[in-house]
Amino acid sequence: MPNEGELFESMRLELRRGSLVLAVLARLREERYGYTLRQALAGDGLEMEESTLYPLLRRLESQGLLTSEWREEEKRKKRFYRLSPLGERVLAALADEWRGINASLDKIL
Amino acid sequence: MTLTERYLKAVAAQLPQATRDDIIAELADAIADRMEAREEELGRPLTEDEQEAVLREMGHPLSVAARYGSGPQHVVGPELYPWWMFGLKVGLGVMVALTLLGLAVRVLSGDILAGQSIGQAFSDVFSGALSLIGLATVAAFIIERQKEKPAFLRDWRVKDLGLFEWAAFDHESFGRKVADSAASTTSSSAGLTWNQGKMPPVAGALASAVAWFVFLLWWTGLFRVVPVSIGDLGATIDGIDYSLILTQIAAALYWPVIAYAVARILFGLFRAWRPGAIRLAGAGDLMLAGVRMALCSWLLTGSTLAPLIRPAGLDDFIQRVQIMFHEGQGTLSTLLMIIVTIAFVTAAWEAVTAATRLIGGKAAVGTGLRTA
Repeated sequence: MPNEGELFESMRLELRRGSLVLAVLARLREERYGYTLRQALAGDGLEMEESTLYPLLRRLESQGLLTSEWREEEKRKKRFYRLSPLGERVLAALADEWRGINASLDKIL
Repeated sequence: MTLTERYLKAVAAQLPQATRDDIIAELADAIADRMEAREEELGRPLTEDEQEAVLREMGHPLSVAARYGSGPQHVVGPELYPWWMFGLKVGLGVMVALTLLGLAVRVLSGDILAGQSIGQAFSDVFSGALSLIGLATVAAFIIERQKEKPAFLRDWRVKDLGLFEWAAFDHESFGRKVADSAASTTSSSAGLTWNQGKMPPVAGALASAVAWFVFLLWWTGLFRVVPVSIGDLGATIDGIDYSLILTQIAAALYWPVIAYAVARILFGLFRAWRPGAIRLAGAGDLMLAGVRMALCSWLLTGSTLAPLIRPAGLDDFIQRVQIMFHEGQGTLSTLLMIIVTIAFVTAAWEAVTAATRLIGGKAAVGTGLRTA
């Protein structure tokens, strides 16, 4: 049997996984590239590893929720992401869902 | 080559060609950003160890590349795993039961020494089990990578759960069953029991695939559960050496039978997967029945057995049957003639019903799946 610390950690990760997608979508209402997005999320208290963030961005783009383009900035080419119109609609719906879950849980926690 | 380049090269090697350059360019930029941030923090260029530390924080190239993959990151996923496990349990249970049976027959008939045959049985079960696990895993691997998951994962009904009442390896229920069977006349063998006559199509198709797999192992000699080979089945009867004939037929049919068994296994799996594909199943049944008709025709006309069992005509057929019953002459060859003829007629009938399903697209009323 895993000890309490391990148990908590694995459940915490599970809990975070879904909410991070929401945070990424919300932060990309404004155009950003990977590094600045990560900093913005860290500033919000949502640390995210590169090895999680970059594949996630790519997946969200392939699902049509994000658009991206390569542009030069600070003498290097960077890939900028932002929310697509579809992404905006999905984010709005997800945000409502999140608030609903939050309100329900708040009542019982 | 810098450390970053080496790192990126290792990641690139794991990525598919189509997205490789794009992903690597983005990763390179991300790494450069991190290195610069760290340099700014320290106010000096990074040492090799510090660069190494930044790269290690990015993750191992294998796992970094894997996260970009679109397919599942497992061989057998949590949804399919119980099915995989159940299939293995049943398959291994049948295999062990058959081996014990074969072992008992061998030892009791004084065929070979007990010690030797036990050793043989162990190695047979071991290699058979490895093949079974390998095959089940390959099947699961393929299923996991299909767009649409097999229908048997979703479309099930409570009344079709007969197959899952199997109580393999469960000594408690085995004991109960033995007690039951001692009390009543219903017998169970080796603790494996189920509700007979209620086999649902999906379970029937799966059971058919497993049975044909075991047969295939026996045919190819990979798994000697039944302690006889083809040649041992015949004997010299009525002055005719049937062993020789059987051996010749088996040699001629070696590959065709393997092809047929493989087709049956795949077909069984397919039917379990898509129970609704009635037309396709009908087409498959029609083809398999056609193969059986061809086999019977060949046995009657072209094989080494043909001169013994081919009737010259309907009159000759009836006459031989009459002679067999009245005078007991030429019994085995006549019996074989009758068996092969009946097999031909049965196959022809199945071909007709399969053809109606193929044309009509409706399952035959009242018939479950035939596990021939």
